[in-house]
This record gives sequence, structure tokens and C-alpha cells, in this order.
Amino acid sequence: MGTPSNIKLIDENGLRLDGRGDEELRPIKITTDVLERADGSAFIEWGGNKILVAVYGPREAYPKHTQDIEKAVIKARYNMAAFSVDERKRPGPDRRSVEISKVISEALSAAVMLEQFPRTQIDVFIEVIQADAGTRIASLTAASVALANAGVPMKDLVVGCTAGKVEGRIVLDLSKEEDNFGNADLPMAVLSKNDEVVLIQMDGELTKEELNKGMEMILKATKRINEIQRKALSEKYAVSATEGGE
Amino acid sequence: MDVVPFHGSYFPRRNDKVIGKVIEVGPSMWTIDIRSPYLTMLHMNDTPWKTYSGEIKKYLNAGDYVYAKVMNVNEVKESWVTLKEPGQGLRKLEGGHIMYVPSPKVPRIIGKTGSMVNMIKDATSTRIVIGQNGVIWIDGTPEDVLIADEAIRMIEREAHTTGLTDRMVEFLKKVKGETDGNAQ
Repeated sequence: MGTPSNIKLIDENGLRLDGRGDEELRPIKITTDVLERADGSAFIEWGGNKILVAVYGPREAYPKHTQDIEKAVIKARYNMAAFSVDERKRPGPDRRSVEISKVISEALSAAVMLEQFPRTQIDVFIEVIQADAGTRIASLTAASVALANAGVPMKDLVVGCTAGKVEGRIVLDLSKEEDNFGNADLPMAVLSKNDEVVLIQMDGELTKEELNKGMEMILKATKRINEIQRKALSEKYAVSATEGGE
Repeated sequence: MDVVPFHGSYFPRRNDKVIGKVIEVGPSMWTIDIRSPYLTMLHMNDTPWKTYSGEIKKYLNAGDYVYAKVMNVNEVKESWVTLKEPGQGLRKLEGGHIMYVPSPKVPRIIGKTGSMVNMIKDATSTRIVIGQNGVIWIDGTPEDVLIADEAIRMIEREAHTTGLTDRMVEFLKKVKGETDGNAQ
């Protein structure tokens, strides 16, 4: 963040490195039911990000001391493959992935109806196969789809997006270069229906006005991303409905 | 607020009749797996047999299947089942084959007042017991069991569509014709 560089992130026409405008998202594609053995799964391709999410449960929580007698606990594990980034990443959990696992667990807990299954755990395994900035919100977006795919009752889908400041301008959905050499990065996730914020983090510096503008842009974008989530979930039923419909 | 998912695991409710597998035998209780996040218990006093503490293994052993009724579920989802309600077909299931479907599909497999499952039973001349938890017990000749299995898989796949009963009639007519042909 803020690393000095001479890369021109926004050209004279106001377009970004990959040709996007300020409020343009990278292409997003979500598929469900990609894993046979998991209770629910999803695969998201968001720009250069490729992330696989598997959901198991609700099942009895182990080790036993992690059980909550009143509700289920969500155990999300965010993991980056060694080959997911340019320079080989040392495999295994590190400070960053532990933090992301925690914030994702908490964000998902806001959506899932945990009270319905006391003493259980819901495992969410997130494997980042290819990383290209914004993996935490892409993971979260895919994780909520995987949970819905697993038939876990939820109040709403969690949908995330990032905004950031690049060469003094607030733009949506930072790319890798913009993340590395920009001024600020603002990942945020909300419940799609009532815009309740379930995750917000900031790296870098933004003024109050810039923060508000960024949040506003994200809120608008989450509506579009939510459409993609819903389509991914309803797709498989639509196909068989036409096969066997009246 | 509540949500009814298309699939997902089974959660015991009072008075549900379920099929469970005995996974552990204690001095006076059996622990039973009903394909739910929670195990359930069967106490020796809730069976039709005259049992004594310490020797209940004679009646039900690990690996046996029972068709039991959920007696009670408490706030932390602990549950107890019983075999001791006459006239409801509760019993140890001997022989037969076990198959699993997602529990939300069970009502569709049973059909209105049992119409769908009765159709399969009649067409395949098998005995079928369906637990609310999505465990199904089928008894009959191996050929008939395979047909019943396939019919149930078809319902499972198309549970959310309309006109399924008609397609099932067609399907059963077709496979029955085939088996008749082979029998000659």
C-alpha cells in the first residue's frame, strides 16, 4: 500500500490499467456444486481471483470445548495455495490468513441462523487457488453461496466488494497493481437486503468524505454482485425445471 | 423468520418416525445415528422387549437398523426415540437394503397420503419403510430393490418439478415391462 512507483495507474482518458472506469467491476463468475463430497460448494472467478469454497455441516462441534450450547459456531478457514501468488507463498496459516479466517467467520455468523443448531459447527474451507487482490471479499461472497448451496438456513446472502483510492481517485474493485501501488484499500461486506455491514476493513488513509464515497460505491456494486450470487444458486434448479416442467 | 432449504441435514422433531443405525451399545441405552448432526438415544425401557441392564446387546447390536419414533427433543437438541408404540410399525429392521436421500425430499417421495411410495411398492412388489430423516429401507428381490432405488432417485432429482406422478407412472410401466421381458 502506498509503495512509491512510477507506474501510471490511471491514464489520461481516466481509464484504469485494465481499461475499466472508476465504478466498473472485474468480471465475476460463480458456479455451485463443484465438489461431490462437500455438503455445499462454490467456485468463484473474480477478475484474476480463483477461489474454491467447501462447506461441511452443521455437524457436531469438535473439539468439544468449542461447542456452544446455544448456537452453532462457524469455523471458516482461509488458505492460500503456495502457487496462488507470483512469489511462492510459504504454505500453512500465517498472521494474515488467520485474521481473514476470523473476519470471514464473523461476517458469515451474522447471516446464518445459528440458533437453530446448538452444539454444532459449520466448516467453511476456503482455498485461494489464484490471488489477484480482493480475495477476502471474493471468498466471503463465494462462501455465502456455498452455505446456501449446502442448505444452511440463512437470513440473507453476504456480499462483498472493495473500493480504494488510486492516484487520488476513489475507484471500485481494486486490481492487484492498484492494491499494491494505490493509496488506500477498503474491503466491505454487507447483507444484501438491508445493507447491514458485516465486514469493513481499511488499509491506507482516506478522509471521511472519501470513505463515505467508497462505501456508497460498494453498496451500489453489491446489488449487482448479489444478482450473480442468486443466479448461481437458482441455475441448477432452472435447468431441471424446464426438463420436467409442465 | 424461517427458511426451508432444498437439502441439508435432518433435525429431529417430536413424533417423527425415523430410521437409525445403532452405533454404540451401553449398559441400558443404545446410541443411534439418525443422519443428523446430533445422535439420539434409545433406552431399554422404551422397547417392546424384556431387557436387563447389561445384556441389551442380545436385542440390538451395533450396525442394526431400527424404525423408531422421536419421543422427545430438548432445547439443546438432545433427543430420545422409542420402539414402544403399538400399531405404528416401529421395530428392528431385519434384512433389506438401506438408501439415503436428503430429508427435505421425503414428503415428495411419500406423496399425498402415501400415493407415491405405494405406487412404487405395488409396481416393484417390495416392502419400503421411509424415515423422516431420509433413510429408506427396502426389502425384496435384488432386481426389484434396484428398480425401487432408481424410482426413488428419480423423485429425488425431480422433487421440485411438477407432473412428477405422471412421469413416475410412465417410468414404472417401462421398467416393469423390461423385467417381465427378462423373466421369460
